[in-house]
Amino acid sequence: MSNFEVLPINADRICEAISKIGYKPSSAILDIVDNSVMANANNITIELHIKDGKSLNNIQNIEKIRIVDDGTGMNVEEIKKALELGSDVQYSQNSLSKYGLGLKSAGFSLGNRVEVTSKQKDVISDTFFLDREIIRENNKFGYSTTLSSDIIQDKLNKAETGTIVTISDIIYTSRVSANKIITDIAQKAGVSYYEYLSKEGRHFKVKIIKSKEGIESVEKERLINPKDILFWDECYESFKKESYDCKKPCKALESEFENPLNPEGENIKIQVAVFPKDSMRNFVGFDENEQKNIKKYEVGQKNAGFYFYRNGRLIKWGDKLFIGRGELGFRAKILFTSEHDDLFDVDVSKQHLTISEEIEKILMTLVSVARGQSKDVFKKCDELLKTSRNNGNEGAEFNVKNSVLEEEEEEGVDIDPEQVKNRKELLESKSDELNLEDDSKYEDEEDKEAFRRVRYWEQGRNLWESATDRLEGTYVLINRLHPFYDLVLSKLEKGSPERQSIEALFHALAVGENQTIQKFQNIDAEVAVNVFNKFSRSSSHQVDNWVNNNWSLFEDED
Amino acid sequence: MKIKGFNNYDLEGSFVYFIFSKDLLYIGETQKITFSRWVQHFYKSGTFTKKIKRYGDSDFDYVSRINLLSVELTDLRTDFPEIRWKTLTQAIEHSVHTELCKSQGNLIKSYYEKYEPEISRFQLVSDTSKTCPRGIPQSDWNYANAYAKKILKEVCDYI
Repeated sequence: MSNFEVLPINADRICEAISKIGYKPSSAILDIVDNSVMANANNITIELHIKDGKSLNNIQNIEKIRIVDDGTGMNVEEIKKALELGSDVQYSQNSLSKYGLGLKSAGFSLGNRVEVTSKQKDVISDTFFLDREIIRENNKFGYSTTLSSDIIQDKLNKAETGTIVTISDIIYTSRVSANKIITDIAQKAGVSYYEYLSKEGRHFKVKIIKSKEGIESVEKERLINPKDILFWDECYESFKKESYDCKKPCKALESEFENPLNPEGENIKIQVAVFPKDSMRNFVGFDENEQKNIKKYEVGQKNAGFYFYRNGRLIKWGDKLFIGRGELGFRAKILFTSEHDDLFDVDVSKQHLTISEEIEKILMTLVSVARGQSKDVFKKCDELLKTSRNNGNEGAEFNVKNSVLEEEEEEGVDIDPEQVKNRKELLESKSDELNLEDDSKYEDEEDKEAFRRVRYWEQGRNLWESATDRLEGTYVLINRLHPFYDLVLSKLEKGSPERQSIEALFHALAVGENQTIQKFQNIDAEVAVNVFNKFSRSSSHQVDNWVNNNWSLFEDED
Repeated sequence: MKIKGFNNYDLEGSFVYFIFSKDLLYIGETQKITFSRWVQHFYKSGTFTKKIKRYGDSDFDYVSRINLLSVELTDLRTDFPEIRWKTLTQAIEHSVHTELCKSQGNLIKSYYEKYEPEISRFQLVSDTSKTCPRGIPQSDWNYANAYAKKILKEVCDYI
């Protein structure tokens, strides 16, 4: 036998509690708009009615907020159901609703009175409303009704069906203005409802309205267009490092993964695009349209990260999760449905979700290559920007600065000058075999005369090779094909002190090698050459190993 | 007759290997399989031992229930010059991880149904975030992804 007893509920305090779940005004309005989207409305209008005598930018200037749609509408029973707390409505598959609290909690976060009027089968309902003051007086949760006003009837008569939600007795928890809200909504809604707005015949507007003697006039109007935050249709099909022109984003991943809680169920989809640097919008090599395009992408901290969509509606904007500050060009869309709610733990306000450690690990693995590409895209942009500033060849600065660098070491006592000469000739003939082409370009004509002690090439497996010029002496060849070049050298600006310092080390190694072969005459010259060949292979291989374990070394670099 | 294993020499080649133990799966790569390298994973400070500590059940003796499987990437060594072997093996190792992140189904149906029937979902405890190659061309990734799919199919068929 159950001994269950009913306990009293303080209805007004419950209303207070559900109004304080962390809505921002624009998010609360969009939560109510969700109902219009679910009602398959083709036309949705948000009206912000400003108080008499207030301007658009005055803070706390809103008298009431109205959401008008031409969706399927509701009959009286359905309106009552919609006003219940935790409405026990049978939601359609992939509905935007979740707990049956949205209208009430979003409505009460905006104002003390929430009104609903609806039209179905040519019948316009009375206006049903929840009023905090009446609820408080009665200490019971319930609705009241009143005849719908002429203005409401006029608006509903413009379509066969539809619903109007009006929030009045506005609550201000921040220094918000109608202009701030319209701007917020204009920025967010196109992204939030991208899928819905992309269908033909859908119109979504936000208006600021002034009323004078019962006549409404529109002070400002913004049309919300669908906006794909990944600009997928404009993206290059993939990132091709060798030919990327830094003008458009690139598709980096389009895939799906199983729900760990239900592997047999529907998969979760993921799309990733990587964007060029925002600074490319000022790149002189681009024409006006190309610069405008870059600006449109709005690449930066605010828009980088993961966008979580539930049933086609954005829940979370640009969640950074594990991505670093050097990855501002990385954007990912995660598309899931109601079926995955337990996995993402979406909250009542549908503005937040929680990512489990397992999902985070899956995402981290899946986007790993895309993150690398995002950094490479930025690197490409940097290179292009640098190239436009600095046209010198790699190594040119070192060579010009060190045109008279000495490379003699202290002479030993037992060195036979004849042998030195012979060994030098041996090295020279080996260098001739390298068959180098001189393609150097120097900005200054005089610099062409400088001996090129540091040269870059793309041959073999070694990171560097020493070589000898018959007239001038030792030079070093640094291999662009070696992974060390990719990971480290290419990241340091040509001619920068860091790059020149590393070039100095390579050059010193080459000088050390040649000097030893020429002057360490205790061993046969060919043996010495072979020893250094083995040394070069072995140490280059070791640097390769080091690179393979340190791909992420420059990860946090901008 | 073919002698396939002896603990006194190295097996030269590019390998992706799997360490299975109960619900934990560790995937690694190497250019040379030595028995000492296998054993190192199970030292107190070894990579797999550390993963057991982090992800495993502290009451279970994982080391007593280990299955090792390695796949030699012979095609890789003919398709690419030596300087690229290490990087491409790392790319393939990463792609195997991504394939298993997308779906565990085939491995569950093959290895786990046979050897660990009580496991319906395994934990992939290895991590390629530090070794995943950066800056290699998309064509290499296409190669690595296709190779990874082939590895997983053949491993499942083999089991």
